[in-house]
Amino acid sequence: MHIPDNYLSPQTCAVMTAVMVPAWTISVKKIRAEISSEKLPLLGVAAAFSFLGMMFNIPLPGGTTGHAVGGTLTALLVGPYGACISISVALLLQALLFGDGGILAFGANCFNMAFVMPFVGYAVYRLIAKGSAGHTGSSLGAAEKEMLTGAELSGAAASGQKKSSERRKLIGAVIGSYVGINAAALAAAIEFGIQPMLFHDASGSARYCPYPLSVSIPAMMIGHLTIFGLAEAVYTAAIYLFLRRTAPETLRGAKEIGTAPAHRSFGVPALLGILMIGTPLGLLAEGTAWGEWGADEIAATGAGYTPSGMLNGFSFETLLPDYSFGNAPAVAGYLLSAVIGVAILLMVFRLLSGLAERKESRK
Amino acid sequence: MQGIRHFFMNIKVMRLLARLLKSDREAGTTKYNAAGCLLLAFVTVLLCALSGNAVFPITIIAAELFRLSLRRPEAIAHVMGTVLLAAGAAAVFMLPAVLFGSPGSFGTVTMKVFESVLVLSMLGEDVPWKEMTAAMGKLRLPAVFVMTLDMTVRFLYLLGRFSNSVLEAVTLRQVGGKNWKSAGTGGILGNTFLKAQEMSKGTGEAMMCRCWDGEYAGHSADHEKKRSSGWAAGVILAAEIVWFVMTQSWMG
Repeated sequence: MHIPDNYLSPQTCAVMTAVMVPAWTISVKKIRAEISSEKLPLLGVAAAFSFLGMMFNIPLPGGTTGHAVGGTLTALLVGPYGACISISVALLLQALLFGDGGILAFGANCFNMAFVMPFVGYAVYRLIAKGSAGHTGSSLGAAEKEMLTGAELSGAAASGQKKSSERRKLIGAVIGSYVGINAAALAAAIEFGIQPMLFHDASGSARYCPYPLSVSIPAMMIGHLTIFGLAEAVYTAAIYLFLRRTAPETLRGAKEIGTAPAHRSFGVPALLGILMIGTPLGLLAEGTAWGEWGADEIAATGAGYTPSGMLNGFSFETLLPDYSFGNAPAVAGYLLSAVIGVAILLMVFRLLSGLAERKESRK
Repeated sequence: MQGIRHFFMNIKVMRLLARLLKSDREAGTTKYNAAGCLLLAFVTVLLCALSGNAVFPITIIAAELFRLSLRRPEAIAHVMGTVLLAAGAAAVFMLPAVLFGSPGSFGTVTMKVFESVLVLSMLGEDVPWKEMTAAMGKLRLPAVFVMTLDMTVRFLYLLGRFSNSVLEAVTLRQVGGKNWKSAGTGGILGNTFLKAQEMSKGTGEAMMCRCWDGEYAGHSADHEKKRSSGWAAGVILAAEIVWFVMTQSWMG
């Protein structure tokens, strides 16, 4: 779902960036108000999870690939506003260092994956998990209730309530992530699909993405409604369950993060380590994701021509293009890219945490 | 402009040295084997300089950045500030290479400077200066060399602080535009030299009082941890050499 440069017109890119500016501004304000400075590094951890999730490519019949994003998962860790900033930073790193997603298209990519996905996914999660807070042990039958004392009853009710609550939250996370990624895919498909309509030359040929809405929407949605949506749901569920068992203090909304006790658990570092080591699995999937072809590939995809905007458009040479370098094996490139990406994300948010702490101590 | 230059030259250098020379009481003893860390850092920098492609240096950069990302924000800020400054300076120096049609040299030199300064900065964070000088003695480096290096770094910091105070006094007394010629540069340097002589005399007297002949002995605290970290350094060194040999075949 990373839109490369020259697929969207500069005007579209400018509009999407303009739309994201207030989103970023409000997100930063909310984070300042709701997350304490010592918990800011959690945003880096969340960004790292998202970054690593996007490196696991999944093949789709037809020769294209896709990947999970972890947008809803990130929202479950740090709230939707925190997710907006975390995923934006991860996308910026991918665009600048690894050439995954365009520089001009950064605003559009953030709109889809850092705004639409976490907010929609989190809203669905809240809708499903909301009922779990008021649950009062009605899972116990009448006979069981008669046998138990008041204290036992309330204890059993609390235990039953907790299990039911956790089940609802897990279901909410799974469904929320599925709905979130599909909402983001739909937004990307619309952005692609309106290009031929709005930006074409005198002969009618598209100057940027050549596929209209009638092609882009089915092409994006079929993959995401089936395999990629499922992958996102499985990724979210697996990590959610792992963190619930090993580091439950990380699974809170933004309002609770500021007051969470600072436990030291090895769940998060272990999971990051496992994901980093596992990133080369993403190389098993060959092919390019829909809408991420290079200028030399697009004519062969069925368009029949290369749009002029792609031939003469903006280009940017990155340090580690496509997570590789030189003649080194792709596995080495992927592993090193994962390590560098995670390290930079953790450092950025730790530095921000340090700055915020210094500001607070001066007040 | 001169004020900015004065500030930059003195304050940045002194901050760097002050951090390196963190009070011995504050620094305590590290759990790492200092000699192992020093040898590892030296070999790493050497191998990166010898590397014919970007794979090995980028591996080292990735590993060190990951280690750095687990540190406190102050350490991250200090190390990255130093590294980016050094790499930026190298990039500026190498810019003509791009204009002369050799962008590869620009990238290679900048990357290797980034890597070398990163490795040495991380060494400075891991191992206190006093243990580093002791480790140099253990590695059979001549005591005269180690002592000269130690004294140079310490006096750079102390004399830097002194000359900064003198410069500030001169600046405050000046009226109108600042002019180095009228600032009495000769007087400032002369006073700094006299101060250096005083300090070296004082150092000599302190050495005699403490019966210290300039030989650097290793610290005896926590042998077990240091032995195991020494073995770890050995394993990492071996892995680095193997990885270096493997990556040299991936030219391009």
